[in-house]
Amino acid sequence: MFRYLRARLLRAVPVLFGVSVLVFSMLHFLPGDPATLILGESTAASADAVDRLREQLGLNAPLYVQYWRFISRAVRGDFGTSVSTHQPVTQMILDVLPSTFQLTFAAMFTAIVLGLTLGSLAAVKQNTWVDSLSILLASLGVSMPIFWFGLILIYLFSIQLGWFPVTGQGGLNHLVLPSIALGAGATGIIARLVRSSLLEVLRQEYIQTARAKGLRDRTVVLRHGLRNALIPVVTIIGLQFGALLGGAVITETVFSRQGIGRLAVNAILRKDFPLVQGTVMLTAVTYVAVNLVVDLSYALLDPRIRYGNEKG
Amino acid sequence: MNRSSEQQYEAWLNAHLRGQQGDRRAFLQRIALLAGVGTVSAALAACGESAGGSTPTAPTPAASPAAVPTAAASVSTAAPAPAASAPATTAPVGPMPKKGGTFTMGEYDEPDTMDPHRTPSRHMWIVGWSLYDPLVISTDKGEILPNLAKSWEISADGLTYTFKLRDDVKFHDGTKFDAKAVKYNYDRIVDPKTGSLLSNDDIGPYDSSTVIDDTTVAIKMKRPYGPLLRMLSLQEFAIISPTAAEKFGLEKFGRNPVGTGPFKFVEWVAQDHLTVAPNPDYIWAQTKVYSHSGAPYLDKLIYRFVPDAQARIAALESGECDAILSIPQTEVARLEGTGKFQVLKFNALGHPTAFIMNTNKAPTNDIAVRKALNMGLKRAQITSTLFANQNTPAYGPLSPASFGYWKGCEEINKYDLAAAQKTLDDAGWKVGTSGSREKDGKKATIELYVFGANSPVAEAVQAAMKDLKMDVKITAGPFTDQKAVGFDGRHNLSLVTFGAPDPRILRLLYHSDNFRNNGWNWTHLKEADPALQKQLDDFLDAGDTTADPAKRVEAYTAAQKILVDNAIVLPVKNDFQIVGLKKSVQGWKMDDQNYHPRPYDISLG
Repeated sequence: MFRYLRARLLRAVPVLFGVSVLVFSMLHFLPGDPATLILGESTAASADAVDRLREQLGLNAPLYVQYWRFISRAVRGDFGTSVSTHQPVTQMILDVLPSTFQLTFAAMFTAIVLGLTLGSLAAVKQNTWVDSLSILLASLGVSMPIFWFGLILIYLFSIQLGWFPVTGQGGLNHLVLPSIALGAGATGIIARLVRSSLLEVLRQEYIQTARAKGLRDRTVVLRHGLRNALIPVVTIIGLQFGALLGGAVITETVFSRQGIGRLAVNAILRKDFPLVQGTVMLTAVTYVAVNLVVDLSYALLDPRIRYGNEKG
Repeated sequence: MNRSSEQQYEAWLNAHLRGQQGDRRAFLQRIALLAGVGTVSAALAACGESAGGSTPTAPTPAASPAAVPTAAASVSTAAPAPAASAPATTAPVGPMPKKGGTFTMGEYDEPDTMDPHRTPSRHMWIVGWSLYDPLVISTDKGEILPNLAKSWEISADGLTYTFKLRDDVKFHDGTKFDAKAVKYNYDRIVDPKTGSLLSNDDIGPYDSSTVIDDTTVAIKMKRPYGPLLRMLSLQEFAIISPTAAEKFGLEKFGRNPVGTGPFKFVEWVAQDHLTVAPNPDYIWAQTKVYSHSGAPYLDKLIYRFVPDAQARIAALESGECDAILSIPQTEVARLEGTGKFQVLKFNALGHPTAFIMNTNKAPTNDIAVRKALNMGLKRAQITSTLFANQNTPAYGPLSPASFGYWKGCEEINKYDLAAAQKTLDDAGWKVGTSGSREKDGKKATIELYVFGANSPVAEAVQAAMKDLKMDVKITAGPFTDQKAVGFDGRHNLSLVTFGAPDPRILRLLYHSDNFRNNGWNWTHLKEADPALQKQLDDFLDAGDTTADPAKRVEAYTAAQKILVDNAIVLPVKNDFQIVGLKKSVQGWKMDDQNYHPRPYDISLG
């Protein structure tokens, strides 16, 4: 297991290196001088101001020196100072990161609970109205745009029923609507996958054996069926995590929540390059880390992967 | 960080989430954003209420330009006139304002910093009116009154402004406001280390400040600068506590703002809200602007940042917000229909949404073509079909609410298709075999540019020009291209919206000083007609150097006349800040730019 972990960790290094090069060079791919671009729309941008900003951003040094500066500071968690708010980028990210994680995890939790329930029900009650309803809900979840679904939820549960607040964060009641809106897509995907995966498993001979032993249906499905059906589901959960981080931008905007998505979009539009670099880099690291965790849990769930690697 | 990036943020929001907001100072191409859903948001069509959504509603009576006073701020509302819309000078209206309570105002984005001298962000100005006072303050009629200064004198040569200051003013940190503080503030603005993006430009030919005694400060200019008092009344010149500025330093002051305003800073939670509490010592309110003195009525004021327009409206309807800013035009009728809210419209100051014409490129190098475009554009149809009658047709290069607006443009540029066609015929632009106008075998194709996002206004103009048998070719480019296109002269028409507090905006867009690489003047008049450009420059210079309001009006009227008589601009529509309030809210006031609320008088009933 340890060797597997080490191998996976080592494999993350080139990925992160590639991302860092991309993130760094974003600034330089854009046509024109970055300092002019940042100051471009300002009527007051004098040559002096451009020079000062070039100096401040360190744009006068050769590219490899700039990259070295960038990466050596980045590994220490320092992404420089935002050119729009004049605050340290890392601080700005840390301010809003808990909120994004809260939202993403809550949405993931919602998606897993609802997805497993709907998917299992659909598989067990295959070809009944329960199955049809579950699949209908799953399809709806996948196909509804987040902002639209979010606004519908706001309209129903905040304006009409007055159950949940429209804006902001804080207690659990602030988290309910956003996590449903954000988790809807993943719910649908998980539900459909659980259904097909479980149906396949339930056709296996060992399930028949379990049934033949006289085990209760519930035990058969939950202990023998679902557990084995979960492996592909775990992979999808990992992949969905990235999608959730992406969807968080929209959700954060609709529900006026703090978050790294909003921060990134704002940074891009304000041409706040240090902040863009910080948020993109951090999102990439998160994504790599989550996939690592998923791969590890995969190994935990399926002994074949573990042993296969240790032998190799 | 800069003004236009705010618009791009809006554009992004529009593209992804519909709704539209206004902007503060430089909401260039706001129209492109207002409308900017076009290209990106096919997916949103399902929502059926894109900013440029085409759901015409009955015209609101107040929405005709004739109903908009020519001077300064105008308020029009289709709802029964609420107390809050009364001009500041005639307030208070209604019973004694209720004391206490928490007031939550929904705004679409947070400031980048609360350091007034460093940012051009209008979001800072919105919160700024709670925390800061400027030296002088402007009424909603554009009259400059004392605020932290008691009085002032301008030397005969127009170079020295000597201010007598109040001696009873304290900053929120307890330190005293005095002449040294004024000097510190203005010197800070021009100090390159401050990295100011707007104030250092708007302060003009500032030379130095001299402390004469504790309550007297003399501000010296390098040359006469007419707009100085007007500029000093803006939030970008708000007076901050020198002690706090030194203590926190450039990097941290913006998150720990200390001023002399009616409210004190409490907390700022990033992307969520900014809270302020009343300043009990506040005895220096200008009572010609505000209707009471002493501490504010509210116990607490929260600026809540709600980026999505629909969510903002939901927050008002669910009661989470007592007021919301920047309501999309297409939502006004519904919100008014509920009968539960006050919906107020404030005409933005500055340059309306308009196309700058290139006077040195065929066919707009022909004045007949330019005049025909102006007469042949049915503006009222655009404002009714695209903007639900919540904007008004614009006929000149200044918004009707702007200081020095010249009404003559409304007659000259009024819709008259027959006259427009005749003008073209007379000038030799005949309808050829292709069905389009041509002269000497050349087709009259108009190159129209929009930036940031494709704009329904562009398409509306294109459609309108079919009546004139003129072909319009639309090119949509990124924001970063606009100045290059303008300076290279690739355009016949280029879309611009530029909110600004002072008619000085005309200088930016039309003075030959700004006809340069990376400049904002795209008329090419200097090449086409240097004598006329010189004449225009002289009037714009005159408006810039004199401080006498009457003379300034004279100069800017002359400038507007030149621009309209020679059809150098094709104005389309005037923009509005639309605000929604709970019925019980009293004392709502906007600043003299009709864009940023002044919260001091607000009470909850």
